[in-house]
Amino acid sequence: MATATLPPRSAVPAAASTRRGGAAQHLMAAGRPLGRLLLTTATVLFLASVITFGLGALSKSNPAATVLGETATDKDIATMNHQFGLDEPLVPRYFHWLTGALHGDLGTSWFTTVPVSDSIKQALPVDLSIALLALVLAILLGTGAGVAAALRAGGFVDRAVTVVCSLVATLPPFVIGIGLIVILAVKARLLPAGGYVALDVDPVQWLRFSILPALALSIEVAANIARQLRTSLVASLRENYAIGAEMRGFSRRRVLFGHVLRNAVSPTLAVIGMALPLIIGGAVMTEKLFNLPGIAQLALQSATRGDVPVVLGTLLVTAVIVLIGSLVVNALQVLLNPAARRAGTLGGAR
Amino acid sequence: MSSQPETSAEPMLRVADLQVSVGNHLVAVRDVSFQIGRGESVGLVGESGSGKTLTCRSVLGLLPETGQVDAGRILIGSGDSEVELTGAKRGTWNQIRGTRVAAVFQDPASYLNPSLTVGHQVDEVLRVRGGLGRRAARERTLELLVEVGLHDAELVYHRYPFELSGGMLQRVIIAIAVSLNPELLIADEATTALDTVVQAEILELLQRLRRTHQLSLLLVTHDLAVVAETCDRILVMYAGEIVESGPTDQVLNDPQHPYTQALMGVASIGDWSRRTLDTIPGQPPAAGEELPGCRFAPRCRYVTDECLQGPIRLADVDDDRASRCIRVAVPA
Amino acid sequence: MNTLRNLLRIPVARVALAILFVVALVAVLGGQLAPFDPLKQYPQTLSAPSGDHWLGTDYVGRDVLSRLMAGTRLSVIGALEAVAVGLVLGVPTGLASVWMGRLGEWVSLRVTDTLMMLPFTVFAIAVAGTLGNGLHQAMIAVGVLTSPGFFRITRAVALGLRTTHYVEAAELMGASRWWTLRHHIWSKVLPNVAVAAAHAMGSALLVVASLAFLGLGIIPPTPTWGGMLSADLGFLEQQPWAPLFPGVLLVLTVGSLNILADCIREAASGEARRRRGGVLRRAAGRRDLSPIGVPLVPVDPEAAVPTDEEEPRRVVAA
Repeated sequence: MATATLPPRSAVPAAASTRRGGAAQHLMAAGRPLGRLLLTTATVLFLASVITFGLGALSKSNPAATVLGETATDKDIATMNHQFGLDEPLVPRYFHWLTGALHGDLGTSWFTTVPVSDSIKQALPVDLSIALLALVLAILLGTGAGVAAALRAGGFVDRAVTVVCSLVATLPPFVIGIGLIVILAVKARLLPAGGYVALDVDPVQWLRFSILPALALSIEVAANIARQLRTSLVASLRENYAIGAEMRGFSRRRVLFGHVLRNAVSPTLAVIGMALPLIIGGAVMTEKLFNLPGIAQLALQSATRGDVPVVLGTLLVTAVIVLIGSLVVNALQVLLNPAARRAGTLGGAR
Repeated sequence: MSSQPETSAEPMLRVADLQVSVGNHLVAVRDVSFQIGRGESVGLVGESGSGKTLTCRSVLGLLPETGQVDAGRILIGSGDSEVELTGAKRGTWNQIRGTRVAAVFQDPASYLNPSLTVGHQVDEVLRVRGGLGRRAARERTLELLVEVGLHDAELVYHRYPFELSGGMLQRVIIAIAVSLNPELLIADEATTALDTVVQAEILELLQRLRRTHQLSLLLVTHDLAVVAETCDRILVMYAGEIVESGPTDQVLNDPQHPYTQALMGVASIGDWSRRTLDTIPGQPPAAGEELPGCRFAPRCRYVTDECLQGPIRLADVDDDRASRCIRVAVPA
Repeated sequence: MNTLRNLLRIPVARVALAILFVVALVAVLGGQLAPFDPLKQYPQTLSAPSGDHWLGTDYVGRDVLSRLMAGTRLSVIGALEAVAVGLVLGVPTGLASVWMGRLGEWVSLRVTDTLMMLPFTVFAIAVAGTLGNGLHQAMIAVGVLTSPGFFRITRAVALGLRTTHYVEAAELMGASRWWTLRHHIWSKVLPNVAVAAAHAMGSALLVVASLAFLGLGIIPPTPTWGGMLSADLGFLEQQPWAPLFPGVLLVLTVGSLNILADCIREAASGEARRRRGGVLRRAAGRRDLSPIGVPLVPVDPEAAVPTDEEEPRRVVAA
């Protein structure tokens, strides 16, 4: 036929000649957006540090007032200010503070003269361990519910899940927390209503004390995940590629888990990305509610005393944690999308 | 009963008195009966709205939520291997799809999973439905890719769909479709979105596969030239009915229905240029519209009073041919 | 306006508006409506709801119902303050950002990114610790953190409209920027901002309650919803139902605000252009601010790697 003499139109686009050509190429394509991501993150970090420092600079609080209260004389104020390096001009002070922070030194508490980073190092694991537990719970509950709902869309499970999620999603963690305390701790006496045991001290006790706060923190995120996942899955099941998979005789389970889930994950990942700030925000309330010695308690205590370095330290650390979380989620999204739209290439010799 | 052309090959697909309605009981496909023999290639031709897509979807069990099969039967295979597809459950469909019936659609890119390599997707069918181990599946995939004309099979294997052209993707889809050696391949506008040269290549590929795999083909299209080139028999649909059927060259050279005749006047088959079927004056009836007599009557230049009396039957014209026009065929 | 009329046609919206009206009424008239003096202590402490005290009394014998009503005022005022600050900071800058140069745009986007990323409550604590423990400071801080949401919405709408034909045509005819702004953009911006403001109001209420719960911003014995919740915690043995009252009130008000926001969006969308990607976006957490007032990290499937062009469609679905 005539076509035999035409030059091969279906030439495969030139790419790395390695066997893993596909993977290597798409990693490279992800390089540019990842670079942009890093730049943005660095800028935001810088701005956050400026805002934090700015709060401190604007503060009328000073070490003498914090420690000595009203009996502080002007001389006391001046001495202690000098002691804590507060008489330096603003800009060099900022840079000293920033460079110190990058090395892990966040200054010293005005009140206790304990290095701020030490206090934070003690308090942070509490929040992190509970937040992690909350995240795991949220993902487990949320994906379970979302998938169950999508498998038989329109059925009883689906409708039940939707209703529960709508209800629950409007309840902030501390309301849920109170509910949990009342039901499980006070009435049923199943779990403690407050207190904390560190994970490395006694894992079982840690779990006993952590499960309620973690659950309270996780419910809202779980509801969001379930709703988002269900919607993405149901919509994706209608897409042509899902139909293509069905046409190959795959069972509904295989179509869902093997094909659709992977593509529905991206918007759900965004929801999971929202989990971290939600959890951190909720952590403050749950700490108070469940009497946990976490970073928010530290912040609250220092705030009441006017102990500025500690307050600034906690703010900076929490901001950094949220930022890292967001960086990870954004990076995952870029990597998970092999079409690398974000790189600006539309791909292929179409 | 509408007449059926006798084929020497045993029928591998039988559709009898199919009626499909959509939406609010609008009958979009009515009185459709045909057979496809083993190794035969049949073209189902019609403009958009003629009901050809719905017919094809019914055979695949892919009707939209709003559509349903009201009446008729669809049977695949014959004798011991016969399976009834009307009202079949998901389990039956899962069994026969891929192994007995396969499909190729328009816009190949959208029918592949964008986040998996094409190699993986072909492998998957072989492993999950064909029971092959990983290595065996990979080898077979590479063979299939070569067979469908992708000679850089090793490279293509690792590509994602967005990295390949439309023509290449359609070949991949075809590879997947024939991987389990089905008896029937349904191609629904499979070449419409491709440019002319690639169209020709794909059609040639389908012909080749027909010979090597003993494949029956059902080509659903609005493009007469495709059918002229590839199909043994042609079924012309209009307004939800089959209006003419018969061997392709006979029907196209000597149409026995005013609609087909009008089409031939529009399309210039002889010199390989193609026209679409939308330049006959007038409009086809709206979906589900009920008409007293012949459904082509409003646009027909041979219309008489008798044509408007009642529904017209698909009647034999010849041994092989049938037409739904009383001016041509007299019902037996 | 059309939107208003459409809004009133939705039954759920009417219910929400009714609830909010009652709350507003109590906020304004608060003290007068209360049956008892919220600060006065009666001998029967921790009593259950009765004919005298409809919602019972608290741990020092104060009438719960009166405290609840008096507390409404402070909570509502605080939330309004925060939202007002957010609007004033966010809307003009959002509009302006569309006409700034590339650098200005990029910088303003990064600033909003930063503000959105700072966790609300921790920030409020930091403000209390540095700038003093007052309701106003805290609310202004919350307002500052809310402004990025308004910024993004106004910016996105303005961006989308900047390139439509009728804005270009207006500019071609020599219209000044100001005129273009007022006449064309405002009518598109307003409904979206209203939706965001309703959501923000709900979040701000929660934040006020949270802060009061933590003991920030309010000096006891002034009653607030959050403060009451906090106190109730200490007496759950005796009065396990006590947190229900402020809790339900809070959830009801916030819920009504969120529902109202959704209804406003539906009412307005009759005039707005067809949304793209509707279903997915709506279920994806339609709020820019979560219920507890923690702003979203800039993680967004559409703009995950922050580009300089915010897509208009993000807004209408937000």
